[in-house]
Amino acid sequence: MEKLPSGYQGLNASQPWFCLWLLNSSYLLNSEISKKQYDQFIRKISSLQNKTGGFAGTPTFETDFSQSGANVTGSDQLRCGEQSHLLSSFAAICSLVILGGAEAAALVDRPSMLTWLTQMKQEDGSFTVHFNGEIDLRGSYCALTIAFLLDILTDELVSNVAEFVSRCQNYDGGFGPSPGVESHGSYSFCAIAILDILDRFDCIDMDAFMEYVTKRQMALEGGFNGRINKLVDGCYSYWIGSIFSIVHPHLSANNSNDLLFDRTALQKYIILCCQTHPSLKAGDRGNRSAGGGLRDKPGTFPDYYHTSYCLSGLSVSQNHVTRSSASLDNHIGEGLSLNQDVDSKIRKTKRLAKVKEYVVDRNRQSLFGLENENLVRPVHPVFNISVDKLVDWISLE
Amino acid sequence: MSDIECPNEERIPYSQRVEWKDVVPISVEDGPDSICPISYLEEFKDTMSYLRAVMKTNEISERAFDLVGDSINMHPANYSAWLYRMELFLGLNKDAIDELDWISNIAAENPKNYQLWHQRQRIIQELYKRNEIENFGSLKIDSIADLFTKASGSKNVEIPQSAGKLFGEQSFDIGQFFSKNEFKNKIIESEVNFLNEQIDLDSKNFHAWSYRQFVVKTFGLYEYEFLYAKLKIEQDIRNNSAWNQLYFVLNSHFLKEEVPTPDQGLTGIDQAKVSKESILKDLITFSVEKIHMTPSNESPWVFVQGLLRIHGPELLYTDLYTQINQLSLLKDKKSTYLAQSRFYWEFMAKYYIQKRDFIGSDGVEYSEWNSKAKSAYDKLSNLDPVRKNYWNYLVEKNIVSTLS
Repeated sequence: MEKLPSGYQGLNASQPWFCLWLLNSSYLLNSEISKKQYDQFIRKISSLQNKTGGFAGTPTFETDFSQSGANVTGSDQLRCGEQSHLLSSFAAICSLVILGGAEAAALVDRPSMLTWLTQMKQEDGSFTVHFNGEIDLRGSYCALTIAFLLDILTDELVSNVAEFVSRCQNYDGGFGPSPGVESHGSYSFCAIAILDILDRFDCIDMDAFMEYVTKRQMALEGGFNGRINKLVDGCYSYWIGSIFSIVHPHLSANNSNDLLFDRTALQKYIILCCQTHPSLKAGDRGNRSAGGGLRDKPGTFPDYYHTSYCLSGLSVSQNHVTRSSASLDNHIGEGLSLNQDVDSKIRKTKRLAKVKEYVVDRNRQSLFGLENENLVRPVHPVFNISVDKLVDWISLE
Repeated sequence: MSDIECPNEERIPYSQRVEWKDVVPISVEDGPDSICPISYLEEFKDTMSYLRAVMKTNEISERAFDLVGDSINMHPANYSAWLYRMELFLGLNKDAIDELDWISNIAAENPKNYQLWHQRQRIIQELYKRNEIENFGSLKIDSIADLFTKASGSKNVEIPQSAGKLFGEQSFDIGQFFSKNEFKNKIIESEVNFLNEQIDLDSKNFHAWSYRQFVVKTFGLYEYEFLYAKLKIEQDIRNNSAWNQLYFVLNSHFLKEEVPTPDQGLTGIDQAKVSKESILKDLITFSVEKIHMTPSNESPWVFVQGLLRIHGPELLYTDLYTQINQLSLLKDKKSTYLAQSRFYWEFMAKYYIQKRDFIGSDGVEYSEWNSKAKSAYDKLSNLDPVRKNYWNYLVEKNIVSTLS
C-alpha cells in the first residue's frame, strides 16, 4: 500500500482494482486497516469519480465539456477525459463496501451513476464497458452489482439482461463473453452471478452447465482451468469455486450433498502451489520472490490480483456458505422490482433479505492444514464481500 | 511517432518541446500521501500528463494524434486514450488501412490487450456507417475454389472434397494457403491476414478468436473459416478455440442455411441445399476420428455431443453411439485408452439412461439398463475421484435406487 513498483504503471488505468485486491486480501486474512489508510483509500476512490457519472480507472479531471446531473448526453461522456468504466466503477464500489462507514456511503453520486449506467445499457440486454466500449458479460455483471449495491436497479437496467446471458451459453454448457465466443470460467462466473442477482436460473440449461463447470477442476493439480484444454490458474479458485456455491440450491438433487467440487484438492493447490517457497529455489523462478503473496501457478510470480482471488478461492473451499433453500421460495427477486417508484423502505428490506440468503454454516469447515494458520474468512459468493459488510452498507442508507 | 520509427533517437520530453509550449500538463499523480502510488517512470509521467491536457480541451490536431499514439504505445490499456484516438482518426480523416496497420504494430507486443481489437471493430463499423467500405474494393467473396486457384498460382485446382483429406495430398500446402490471402477488398485482406498472424503466434488467443467471429460474420467468410477451423484442429486437436470456431460457422451458417460445407463438394453461389443431417453425420465421423486419436481430449467429446444435443438429438444415441461403440471394439492399443477415458464412461452412462427410459419402467430390461448406468457412474468415481461429488450427484439424480 506504501508504494507500487514502476512495473505497475501498465495498470495505471485500473487503479481502483489495487484498492479492491488489497482490501479484499486484508479482510480475508483478518487484518485491519488503519484510520490513516481508510482516509487514503477514500481519497483515492473519490479522485476517480466523474461528474458525468461513474468511476474511471485513473484520477479524473474536469474537462472543458464536463456536465453533471440528469442531462448528461453521450457526447458529454465522449469528452469527459478519463472515461468512467464499468469495471473500475465495480472495483470502486466494492472497495467502498469493504471500507464501510458513512463517509464511504456518502461518496457516491447515485443519480449520475444511474444516468451513466443507463447510457451503457444496450437494447439486447448487454452493456458496453465504457462509452463506445466493448460489450461482454463482465460489463453486465459489474453493472448489475453496482446497481444492486447502490439501490438503483431499475426495470430499465434489468430488462433483457437474463436473455442476453442465456444467449452466451455455448454448446459445451459454459458461457462466453458474448454470443458464440468460446466458454470461459470467468465469464461463466459473471453469467451465474447475474442470474443469482436476478433470480433467473430458468433461462439456462443447468445440466449442460454442470457438465462444463465440474470439468474445470484438474485431476492432478486440484486447481481449476479457465477454458477447456488450458492450464490451471490460481485465480479461477474464486471465479469457478464460487459458482458451485451459487448453483447448489438450484440443482435437482442436492439434499444433503456438499458442493460439487473437491474442496481439499483445491486448497492443496492454493496452499502448496500458489505460494512461493523461497527455501526451494530450484526449478521455479517464482521462488526467487521473497515478498509473499499468491500466484497463478508454479514458475510465475505473485501479484495482487492472484493474491486476492486465490484467497477468495481458499475462502470458498474452506467455509460452507450456501443459499438457504427456503429463500428460493420467497421469490424476492421476482422481476427484482427495485424500481424507484417502490417505497425505499421496502427496497431496503428486499435488498437486506437478498444478501442474507447466503448463510455461513459455522459448524462446518473443510480445512486442509491448521486452523490458526490457514483459515480465511467467509464471503458472499456473488459479490466476494462478507455478508456482514453488505448488510452494514445497505443499512447505512 | 518518430520515437517508434527511430527507437535509438534520444527522446525529448514533451515538457521541453517548443511545439507543446502552449499546453499546461495535468499530472498523473494524485498528490502526496496517496495509497498504492505507482512509481512512474519520468517518460510515462511526461507523456500522460500532456495527453490529459489535450483530452481536457478535446484538441483535434495532428500533434494530438501523434501524442495519443505515443501514449498508447507506452500504456496500451489506457482505454480513454483509445477512445480519443478514434475521435482524432475520424476528425482528421485518417486513412483506415494506415490506422489498422498501426494497431497491428501495437498488437505485436500486446496481443492480450482488450482495446486494440475493439478499435479495429469500430473502424470497420464506421466505414460501413459512412458507406465507405467498398472504396477499398468489392465485398464479393471468391468461392473457396477460386481462392485456392489464386493461391496456388495454377488453373483449375480441384475443389477440396474433404478438408481432412487435403493435408499432404494437394500439390500445395494448405497451411501456406492460409498464411497470406488476397481478397478483392483491402480491409478484408488486412483483417484476415492480421488475424492469421496473431493466431499463428498464439493459437488460443481469446481476443483474436472473438474478433474473428465479427470479421467472419461481417464479411460472410464462412467457407474460408470452416476450412481454417479444421486446419487449426488438425494442427492441434486440443485447441478448443478452434473447435468452438467450427461450431460457430456451422451454427451461424451451414446448419442454419442448410448449405453444403466445403467438405461436401459444391461451393459458391450455385450450391444446392443439403440436409442438416448430412452435415451432422460428416461431423460425427470427423469428431469420432479425433476421439480415437486421443480419447482423453475433452474438446471433440463436448463438441459432438453439444452439436447433436442442439441440432440433432436423434443422432446422439444412434449414429454417434454406433461409431463410438465401433471404436471400443477395435482391437488396437487406442481402444484400451478409450476404456480409460472419463469422457467415454460419461457418454456411456447417458446412453444407458436413454436406453432405460426408452423402454419404460415396466419393460424387463429396464433394471438392466439402470444398473449398467449405475456401474458407469461407479467406474467414473474410481477413474476420476476429483469429481466424486458430481458423479454421486448424478447417481442421486438419474439412477432409480429401488431397482438395484
